[in-house]
Amino acid sequence: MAAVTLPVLIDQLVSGLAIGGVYALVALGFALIFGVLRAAQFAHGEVYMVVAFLVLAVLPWFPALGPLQFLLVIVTAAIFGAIAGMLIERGVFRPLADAPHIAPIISTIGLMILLQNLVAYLKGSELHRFALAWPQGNVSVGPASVPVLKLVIFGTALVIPALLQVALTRTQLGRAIRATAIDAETARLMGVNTARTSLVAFAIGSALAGIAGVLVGALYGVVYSTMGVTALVKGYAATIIGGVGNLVGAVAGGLLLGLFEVFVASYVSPRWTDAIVYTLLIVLLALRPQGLVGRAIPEKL
Amino acid sequence: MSRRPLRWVSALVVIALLVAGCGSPGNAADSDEIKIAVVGPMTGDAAQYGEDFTRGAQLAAEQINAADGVDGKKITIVTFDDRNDTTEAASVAQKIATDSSIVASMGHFTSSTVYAAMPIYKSNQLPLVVISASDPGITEQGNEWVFRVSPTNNLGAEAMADLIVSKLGLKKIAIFYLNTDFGKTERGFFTARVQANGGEIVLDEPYQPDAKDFSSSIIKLKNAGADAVYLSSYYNDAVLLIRQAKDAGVQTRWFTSAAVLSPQFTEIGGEAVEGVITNRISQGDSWDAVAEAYRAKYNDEPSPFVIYAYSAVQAVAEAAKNEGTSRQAIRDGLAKIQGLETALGPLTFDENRQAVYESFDYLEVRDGQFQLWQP
Repeated sequence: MAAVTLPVLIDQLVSGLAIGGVYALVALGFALIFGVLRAAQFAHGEVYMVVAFLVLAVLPWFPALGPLQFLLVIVTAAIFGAIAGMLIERGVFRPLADAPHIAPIISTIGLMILLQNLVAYLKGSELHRFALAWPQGNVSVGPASVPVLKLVIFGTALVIPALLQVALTRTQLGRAIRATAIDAETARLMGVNTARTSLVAFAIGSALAGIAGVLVGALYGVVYSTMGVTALVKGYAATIIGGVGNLVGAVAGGLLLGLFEVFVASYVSPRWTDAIVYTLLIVLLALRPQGLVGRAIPEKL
Repeated sequence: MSRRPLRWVSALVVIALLVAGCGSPGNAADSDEIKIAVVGPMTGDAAQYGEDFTRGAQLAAEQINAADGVDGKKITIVTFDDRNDTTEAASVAQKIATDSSIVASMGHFTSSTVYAAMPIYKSNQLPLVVISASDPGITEQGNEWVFRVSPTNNLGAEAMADLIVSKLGLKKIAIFYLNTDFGKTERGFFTARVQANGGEIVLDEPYQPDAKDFSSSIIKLKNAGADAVYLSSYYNDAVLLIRQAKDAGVQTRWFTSAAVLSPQFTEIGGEAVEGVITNRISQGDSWDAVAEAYRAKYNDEPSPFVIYAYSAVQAVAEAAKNEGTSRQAIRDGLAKIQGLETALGPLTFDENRQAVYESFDYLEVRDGQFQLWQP
């Protein structure tokens, strides 16, 4: 292995932040939905997968407009994701609102299996090529030359959570969502339409998953029917690292996870990446169940 | 419904099975047929391979029989199912070997099932022709009843190492390999041959079967100073690796295991896999004719296993023609085969009864397709 030089380190850092950014978006959506509904959305990864396939299907109709096309792809993914999220909220969560907590979990696991198999049946379980016309090529960052795509993905994964943070703190609807997350019953008594906030939270969370799906498609150059499983596991892990229900923590957790994976693969071996990452996750859960970033809030599980 | 008829039927079935199981005694050499057992996975998730074996053997038998057989004797194919299971392979081999009307056996799909069955063929003195299992050790055990027409898995990797290092003069090689038995074995053969040829492995990088993100490995590749990269990969991993490396600006020459040979490789790879080089065993002149007959009969594209099975029947027929139709005669006849024209091309067994493969076709991806390439 070549010596560790500054260009190599920068290259690794950018790779870690790009894939970490994807994990961050998945984790953020997962945490948002969990915060408001107090239930894990196990089909979250399938939203990411289905949106990636839907965007792939409409991609040929997109005009080649460089960065503008990229923006259009992101917006389309967000819309597809939001629609999917609202359908899932209405179809799978709402009818079970008063059922025991385990019920929506089981039904989203069912949805996860259904969507995976449906896509595999319709499109086949092989890899499907996914390529965006922009961004391409490399750019100099200090002494290193890194792919523009990775920088753009990382940038997207910073801008979107920042926008979300503003929306949650500065708008009426955002405050309603936060109030519902803190205590749904009290929020309802205070006049918050919790049915609507949970629908909106679901739409936003799933839009984030959809964006992550197209970003990872562009990053790997392919989409496939089981890609949601990895996304769910990594997103869930990132949520745990950051502290369950903690939005800033979810983003930090995603970025940390991505960086950690790249550095373990680089300096230990790709063969051991998952083993080491998940061992540390278990250790972390034992030592700091509230996550690295979060404070201990027992009622948030 | 009365139980009685059912009981009679059952009794008849049992008797029929017993008779079939025992087979007719002795006199195989005097019989007017040459009975060959085809054994492999006929049920289960590997059944496609068993079907390839059967169809290839049947096609060869029909064509030979249509041309008056072997000195007037017809070739008959009987199939047996070992379910791709080692225990079952041993017991099926026992069943085949004790049927004295059978004068040769061919098949068992994997190396594990061949290993389980080999000693039984030896102790019963029945020749076995291996038509797919690729572990080199099978023909290195001194079992003089076991022949193999298909290539061993070291050959392709070693031919590639010769091409890259000796013919093209690329000395600094990076290797990526799938962290499974397949990838690890192939990597071993490739690495040893590269070093024997005076090349140097500058990057030796395993990856997990479900890997999709090769970023960290590609950064290593970027900084390894490799003249060439060899991939012990199946097509989907190979496509991802090459595409992601090219996206990251890596400039090198790409070579892969024959395992990538699939239309999917070029379909998903697109322009990223243009110029990638792989190899396969050279196809004989009659390969196309056999493939054509196969398409006409089964309306399907023949796999290499069809061709191996077809060639195995040709070899047994040739042995019977030259030495006689007893088990011993067929074994001796097989051992003497030199340059027999088969669907695979000229077939010669070496002293270990392994078919000799010297020439490989090199294929380059050009205009979205694998095309013949001359170094």
